[in-house]
Amino acid sequence: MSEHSPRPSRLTRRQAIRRGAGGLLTVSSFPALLAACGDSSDSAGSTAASTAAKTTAGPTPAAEVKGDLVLAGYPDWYGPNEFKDFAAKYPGATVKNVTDGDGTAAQIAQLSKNKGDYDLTLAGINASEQFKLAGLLEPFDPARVPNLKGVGPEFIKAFPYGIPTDFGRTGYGYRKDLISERPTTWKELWELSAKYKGKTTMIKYDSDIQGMALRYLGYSVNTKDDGELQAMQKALMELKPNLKAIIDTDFSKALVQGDVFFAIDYDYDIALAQESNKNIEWVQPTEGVPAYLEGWVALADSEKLPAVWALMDFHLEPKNYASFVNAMGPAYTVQAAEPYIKKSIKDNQVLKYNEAALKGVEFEGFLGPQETAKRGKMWEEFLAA
Amino acid sequence: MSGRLRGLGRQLLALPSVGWTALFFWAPLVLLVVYSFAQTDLLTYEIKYDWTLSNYGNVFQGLYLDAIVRSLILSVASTIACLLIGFPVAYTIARTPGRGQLILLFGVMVPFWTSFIVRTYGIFNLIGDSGPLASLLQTLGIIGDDGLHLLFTPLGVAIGITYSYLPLMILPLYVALERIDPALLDAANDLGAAPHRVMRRVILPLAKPGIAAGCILVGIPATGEYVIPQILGGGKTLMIGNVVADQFLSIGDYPFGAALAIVLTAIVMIALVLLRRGERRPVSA
Repeated sequence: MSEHSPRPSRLTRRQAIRRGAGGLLTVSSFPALLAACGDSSDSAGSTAASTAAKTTAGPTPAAEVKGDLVLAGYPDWYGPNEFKDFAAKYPGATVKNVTDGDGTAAQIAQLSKNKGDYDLTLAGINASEQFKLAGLLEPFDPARVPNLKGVGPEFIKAFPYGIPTDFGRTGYGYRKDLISERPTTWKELWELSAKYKGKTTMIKYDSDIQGMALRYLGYSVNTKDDGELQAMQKALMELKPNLKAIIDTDFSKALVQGDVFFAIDYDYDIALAQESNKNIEWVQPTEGVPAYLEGWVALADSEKLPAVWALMDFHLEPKNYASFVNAMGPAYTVQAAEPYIKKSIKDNQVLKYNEAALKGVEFEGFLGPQETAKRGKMWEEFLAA
Repeated sequence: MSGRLRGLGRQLLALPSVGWTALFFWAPLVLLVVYSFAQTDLLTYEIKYDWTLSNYGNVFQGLYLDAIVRSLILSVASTIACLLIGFPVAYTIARTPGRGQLILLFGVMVPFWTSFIVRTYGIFNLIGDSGPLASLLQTLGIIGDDGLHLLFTPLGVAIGITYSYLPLMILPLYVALERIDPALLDAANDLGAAPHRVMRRVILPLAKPGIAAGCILVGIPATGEYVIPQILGGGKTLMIGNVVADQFLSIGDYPFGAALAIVLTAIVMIALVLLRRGERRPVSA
């Protein structure tokens, strides 16, 4: 996730998911995902090792779980009764969810300006790493969260800042009843968008779109090479005149209605769109796709850390976690929750991962403040062009 | 003595308004000015008060100038469209006698009772490729099966602004036109002036305050419009309001966002001064 632009789908993703069931990742995909994590997971892995070394305590004693916790993140991005159940289990504690900044930069700005007001937040790899560098992050102690054992080890390695909760990929959907072609690559998308001018929509989220263009060109999603970034910008500028819209809400609505033939979109959203229109096909381009991974992290200025660890552990309890997944439908990270997850989510074909597909998945990692600012500027230029 | 007390009482009555304006308008404005000379730490996104002019220098880069120019063009075009559509409507209302006038005014006001967002989404659906307008035009054979292609274009944004702000043009025009003494129009007719000459030499000059007020009420908010381009522009028609919002809400660069907002405010103030000057110019015979 990028600091310089929000994932505007934060709200809309949730809203979109609420329209129906989401879809998801099967257990068999976890080992391959690790291989696909790239740089970010490597660095993250070392951080995980260091945090694990600091482990000194076990589960939080119930008597220490007190206080009114404030979770910053997407509204209602948890199980429908989760916080009520948590308060019932720990009578001295409550949880309030507040919406944080729309995007990593705004999120950091908001959290750093109001230190102590929030106890934990939902964040991606990129934001978490920047929180850490900015001194906003409380080091994660896995021993405090025994239910972490239910999370796929690859996700724990890739997200050592807290508890990984969900992830997703960027690809595209197309209407097989409206075009004769059957594309499988980004290259074909570029060509077909030019052929069917004004018949493609794009999600408005910088790191996902820039990552897409980088993969189209055969570069890493997390490249810092100026030449590669310039080539990426040129490719996006070539694509822009052929787009119908760059949208931050109802990503697949135009595709469902047939106003466009292609929608550059997230996997979960295309899965939902297919429920409305069976003629929509999902493409995970063979050149590779960018992906995000996010989770809950504790904030350094929280004075209620025992309650924070307890809440994290509570969230990862298989039944609680499954209630979150069943309500919101994100790609899930807790294998142990599978028995409680709806079949319609577990068996969704769009998101049914396999070894071959995962080879091309690359997580968006932390680029550093300067690089992120540069990417943000390029994104602004793209939008304003 | 009692007169002085009455004066003091009148001043006290103004106190809530002054206090409110100072707290919620002047104070934030001063804060914006202070922010606009600061810088953001790229790691922590905290504000550093370096008293730099660099934010203002950056405003005048091509990228942001394009957004400013686009905003001004769309604002001026929409204001002119509102004036051209609104003037005949306001004139008709002003010249309609009795109850009919109230019904027509009611018709102008009713859309204002609906949420702005809802009205904008109404336009979104209306001008969509497969919306009712497209269907109607296709039925009439005016456009082909390819669709309307208005949504997510600058023209679509202009249509949205014109629709949303039209009542703000009609109402001041109506007030100005309604005040024109019908005897003046009768006199012009009696003296042999043709209808177009009556309009140009009598009605338009007397309606000038209403025109100016309508243009201010439409033009100023339209220049900084955020919601309409966000919904109807499809992310491809970036207005300066969207750029400012992005700086605060997405990029986290409060100082640069503040500088952009101050420049936008300055542009609007200059336009306002020019309009007021034009309004005060004596009407030539």
